[in-house]
Amino acid sequence: MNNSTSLASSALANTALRHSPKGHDRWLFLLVRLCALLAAALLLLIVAFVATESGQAIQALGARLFTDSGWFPGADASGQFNLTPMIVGSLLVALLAMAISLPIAVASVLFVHSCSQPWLVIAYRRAIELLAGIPSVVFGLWGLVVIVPLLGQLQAPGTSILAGALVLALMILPTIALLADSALRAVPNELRLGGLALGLSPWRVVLRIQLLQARSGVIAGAILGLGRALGETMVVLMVCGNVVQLPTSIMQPIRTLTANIALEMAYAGGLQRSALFVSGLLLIALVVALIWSAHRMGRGYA
Amino acid sequence: MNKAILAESCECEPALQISGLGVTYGNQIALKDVSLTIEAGSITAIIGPSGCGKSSFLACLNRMTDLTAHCATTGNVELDGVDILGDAFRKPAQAAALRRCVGMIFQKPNPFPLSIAENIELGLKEHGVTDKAERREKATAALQAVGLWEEVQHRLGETALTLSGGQQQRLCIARAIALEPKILLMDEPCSALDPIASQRVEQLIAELRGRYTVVLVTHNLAQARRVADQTALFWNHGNGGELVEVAATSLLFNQPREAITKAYVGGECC
Repeated sequence: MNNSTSLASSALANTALRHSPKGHDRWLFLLVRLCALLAAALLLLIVAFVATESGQAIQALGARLFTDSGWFPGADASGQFNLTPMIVGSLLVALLAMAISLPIAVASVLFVHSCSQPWLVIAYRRAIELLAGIPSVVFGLWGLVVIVPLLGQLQAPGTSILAGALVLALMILPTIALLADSALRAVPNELRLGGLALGLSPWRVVLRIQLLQARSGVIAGAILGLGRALGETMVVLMVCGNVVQLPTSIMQPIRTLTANIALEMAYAGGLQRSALFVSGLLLIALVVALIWSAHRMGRGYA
Repeated sequence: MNKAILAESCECEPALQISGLGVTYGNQIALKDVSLTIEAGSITAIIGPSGCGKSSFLACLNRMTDLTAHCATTGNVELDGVDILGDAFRKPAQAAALRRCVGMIFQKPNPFPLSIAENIELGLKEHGVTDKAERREKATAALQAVGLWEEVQHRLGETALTLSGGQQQRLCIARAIALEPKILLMDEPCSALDPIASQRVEQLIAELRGRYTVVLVTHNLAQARRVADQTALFWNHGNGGELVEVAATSLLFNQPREAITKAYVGGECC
């Protein structure tokens, strides 16, 4: 008995050896490792490059980047280089877009999940996927010829924080909705049945149990959407008016960090060029800070 | 029993009179022509091989069948003389009131992703216990009733997902009995648990005798033998599940009337 067992196990080991080409494994492992390294290195290289290029402005201007009397840049330090209005502009547009988009996206997903018509559910998902595929310049064009004149009737000039936020909200809606949708679909059916078996109303089950279980997916969608809204350039360039100012109302035009870079990079030189790289560095920092705080929020609910 | 009374509390004699009950899923027959009497305060075990309609039978008793697409029922289930399969209970509010009276425990423990206390208090809040202190009091009593209080009293605020499988299942039972139901339906409540946790839950079920009417679906014949007052064997001959035999537990196991019963409880078939 003992003998036959050990025989069998050694035969098994032999087969395993023959079927595992150790050389191939090593090469594959090396390749995968290299690719991972490349992906991580790319990010580091980009950040390092942007940081190096901003070095000149940070050294020459320091805190003046936030305290100067305005944005009248030049190639040397005689210009004015205050980036604060652009930071405020970027944040306001992105956060307002999120505030508009998140409730609509989540509510639409909840509707689909409580809806029993399969064709309607499929139509909704296809529509959201399509919405995600529309290029931002098309959104911008639509915003420029539809939203901006409409807001202009309320209060001139129409190009404003609100215009940018409305168009961006539409753009990030599919991102949030698709992630929230898949997170809700992943919630085990037993939880729903368990809630209904206690006599909870269907809406209570959706809001208090299923949505809670899916929250990490909803938060992930919100982070991605916020990142996209902060980084979006074309739309804000077209509908936000590009006036450098600290706004006092959401009906006023502003310039975002992204628009600032896109508008001036073509002809900037010297300190102005370097200050634009500072804009880029700030943008990266903003996105990282927002992602970090969103993660913390997500943990708080866990 | 008055239907309006059921909506507010479960003032009823918790005996079930089931007659001619059938369940279909689309064209497929899951269960046909089951007639059975369940006494108030007793434990009834439903046994039989997989696919014999045990779970479908259980789902009829608190209208969980409404939640499955294309599922239809025929026949009557009378709770204290009122047919709960009637159209009056189709309305969500009435169905919710019914499910408060007729609680259900599932095979896999399914605590909500909330704290231990909230798992119990959520249902209480839904059913009109607005006072926070009263909710906590009822939750405490329910946890004591399932023997979980000693284990969790210092971590009521922690998420219920940190509990072990057996503790989770007892929490689910506490969650149901906190609503002061009259009947508890249990769908293989021990089959996903390890032997020790399973034994603990089984002991709890035995303790519920008298206070609640329990209908227990189980694959574990020994368990049915140990806890049930009455046992029913379901069988699917290939065209839908049927009730083969129902009798007092000792009678069904020791002096079965039907040949199938004798073979099944003797472990001679399948």
